[in-house]
Amino acid sequence: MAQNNDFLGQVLATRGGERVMDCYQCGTCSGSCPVFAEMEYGPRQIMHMIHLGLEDEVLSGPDMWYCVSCYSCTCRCPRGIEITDVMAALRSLALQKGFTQDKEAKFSRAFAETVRQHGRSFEPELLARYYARTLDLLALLRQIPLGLQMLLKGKLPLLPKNVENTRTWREIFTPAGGKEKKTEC
Amino acid sequence: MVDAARHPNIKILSYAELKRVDGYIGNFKVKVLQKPRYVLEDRCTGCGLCSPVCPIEVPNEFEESIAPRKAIYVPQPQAVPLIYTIDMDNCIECYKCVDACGSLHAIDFSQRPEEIELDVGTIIVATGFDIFDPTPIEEYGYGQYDNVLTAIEAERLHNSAGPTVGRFIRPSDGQIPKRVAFIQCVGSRDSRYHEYCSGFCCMYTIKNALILKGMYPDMEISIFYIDIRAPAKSYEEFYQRARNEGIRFIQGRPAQITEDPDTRNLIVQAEDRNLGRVIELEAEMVVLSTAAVPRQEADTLGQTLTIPNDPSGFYMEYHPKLRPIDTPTEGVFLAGAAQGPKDIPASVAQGSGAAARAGRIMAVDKWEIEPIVAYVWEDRCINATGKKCGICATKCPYNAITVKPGQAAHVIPALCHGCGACVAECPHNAITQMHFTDAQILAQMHALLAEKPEEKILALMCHWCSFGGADSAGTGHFEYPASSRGIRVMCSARMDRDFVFEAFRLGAGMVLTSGCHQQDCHYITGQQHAAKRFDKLASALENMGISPERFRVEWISAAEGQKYARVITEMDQTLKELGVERIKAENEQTRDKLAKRLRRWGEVPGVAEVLGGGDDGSE
Repeated sequence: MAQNNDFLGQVLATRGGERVMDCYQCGTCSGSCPVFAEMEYGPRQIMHMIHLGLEDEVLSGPDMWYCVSCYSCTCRCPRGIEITDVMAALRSLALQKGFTQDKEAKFSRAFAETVRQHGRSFEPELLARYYARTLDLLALLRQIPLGLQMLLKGKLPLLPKNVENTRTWREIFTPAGGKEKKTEC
Repeated sequence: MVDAARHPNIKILSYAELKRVDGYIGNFKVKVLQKPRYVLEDRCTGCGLCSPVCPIEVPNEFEESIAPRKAIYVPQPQAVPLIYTIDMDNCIECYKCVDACGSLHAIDFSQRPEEIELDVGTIIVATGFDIFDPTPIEEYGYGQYDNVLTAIEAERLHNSAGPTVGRFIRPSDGQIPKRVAFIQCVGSRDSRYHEYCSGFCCMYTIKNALILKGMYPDMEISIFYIDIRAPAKSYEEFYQRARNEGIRFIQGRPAQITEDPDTRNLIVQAEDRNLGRVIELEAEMVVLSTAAVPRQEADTLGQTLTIPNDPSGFYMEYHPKLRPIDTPTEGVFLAGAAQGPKDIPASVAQGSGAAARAGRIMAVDKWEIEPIVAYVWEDRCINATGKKCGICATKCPYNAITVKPGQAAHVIPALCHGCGACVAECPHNAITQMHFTDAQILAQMHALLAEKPEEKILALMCHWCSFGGADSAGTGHFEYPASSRGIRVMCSARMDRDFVFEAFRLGAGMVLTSGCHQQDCHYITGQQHAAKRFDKLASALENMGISPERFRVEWISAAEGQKYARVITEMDQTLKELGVERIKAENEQTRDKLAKRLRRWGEVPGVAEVLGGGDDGSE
């Protein structure tokens, strides 16, 4: 187990991460999580791993990328920990520290870039950006039948349609009072 | 209870409310409001003929509303005293009960509330607890799903004297459930509701599970828990017995309960922590082990008795380790769950303890108190001149000071605990504290700062925490610079602004005022008064021209020897960084302003002599 004793401190310093020490491992969060089955550890174990400083395992794992921000865990947590925000903080930490090899991380960045461009998702560009990162052409080919079906039903736009007032929209990506941070998605 | 009712020295006033408490240890005057029962206590024999003829049925509170009761009723069959009461909110005055009562003539609709005055020497508060209502925890569906019950409701259902004569049936269809799930820590250990652990729910859940297992051996019982707390004598063995009898313990706090609308069965979804897997357990009935919470009226009753509530809302004991039964008001004691969640053995033990604590006061004619009480110089009290003041009374945490218009404030020594809050806050220096007079404290200060004051740190410490902290720094061999000089007072509330002004006037390099952490204050609100005062004092000093670093406020507990050493080390460091020359220059500039603040202090008996002597020495 590679331990980074500073990792806990770094999580504590994030917005939402202030109360991770309050966790008493009741499991309400993991029990509430709709994507727990997809996760490797689940939020409860992630909390414990943060306590133990298992930085590599947490940040290279896929769990925080699977979080769908439904806030069930946060609402039900008897310790008042903002678990959904902890997950967001972990994503941010993972990118800052260069844990970008994970395919979930790559997908999230591709998605964020697409949204930043158009103010909404644009699937062809999203796929292009994603597969440009993974270079997994086989997987791209496997998407074609689904793509065609969507195209036939008119669910797949061919041209991007930006939201009105793109400039204002892009400002949302700029942290208040500061320059745009490269690492944040 | 029956024994208590029969005892010649015990009088039970039930269906009565405490209205007012005056006086002090050994001499309390208590006003009690006896509510009208509309049944005469000395005539009612508890025969119960009245109740069956009453046409009114309302939910029975004792049976958790599972059964009805009549408008004329006893709260429960074993009630002591066994006297019926008419619930006037629901009575329609049909007088059928009067006929049923017949020649006993025990029913009297003309009864009115009656105020009773009692002279008592001691008071024991044993008001118990309430049960948390789990309705706000929506994910558990209490109140929404019929078959989700609280533990107390389940308890009534399997009780052979209960509304179902001991048949453990589920509310939706009256069937005996085959699978029952218990959920622990509902509303307790939960920062959204109650932070504390209720303490006894683990044991009563295990008890309920074993009783059900005894009644229905085929029943599948699962207990969802975070931690099992079974610390008292034989409790662990009891827990082990439950495991051996096949009760399933699943470690994991359920995330949610859903209901199958067809079967009305419940699906409990939880992470089984030991499997690392989310499970869905179907049960016919779910029982929530709800938190024990302070009584609804705990606040108002606490105010009447001048006993404070701790952050959880239960009554606060005088000291958690050394005086766990006493309250901050001498002569008032706590027993049972009024002080905090407690099971039966602990409540009985505390009850016996409270009786013994009260007994040792009741057994003697005179009771000795600490001599460090406050004393008013009546000729100095501004209130006596007709001007309205009374600040001292508002600062007293024990209601020990009475202020009547046109009269000097009056301290009741038996109520005074000697914190000194009134002394420090009196704007006219009209109060002193015996053995901690201004003159005495000042004399210490003058002696400590007689030589090279600008190189010294004057530390004002409270007796209970900071002085203990300084002491434990010594016993723990935590090194700190030798520049500090300490003065002990009982509470940080005693630390007069004038002490700090005078210390700087004498040329002190640094001043530290320190006391207990807020929650540890031994005088209820003493620390809070001090904290407010020091806040304002800090800015006043800064305005006068004293560097803000030179006045420091720290809350240091008796266990924090290390912290004390650290604070002094840091202050010594700051002192050196500022430098003696700068401090001397600041002192020179501010001396007159400080003296101006202190100009009327010399009028306080004894102070002038000390002030005069100090001036000669330092200048």
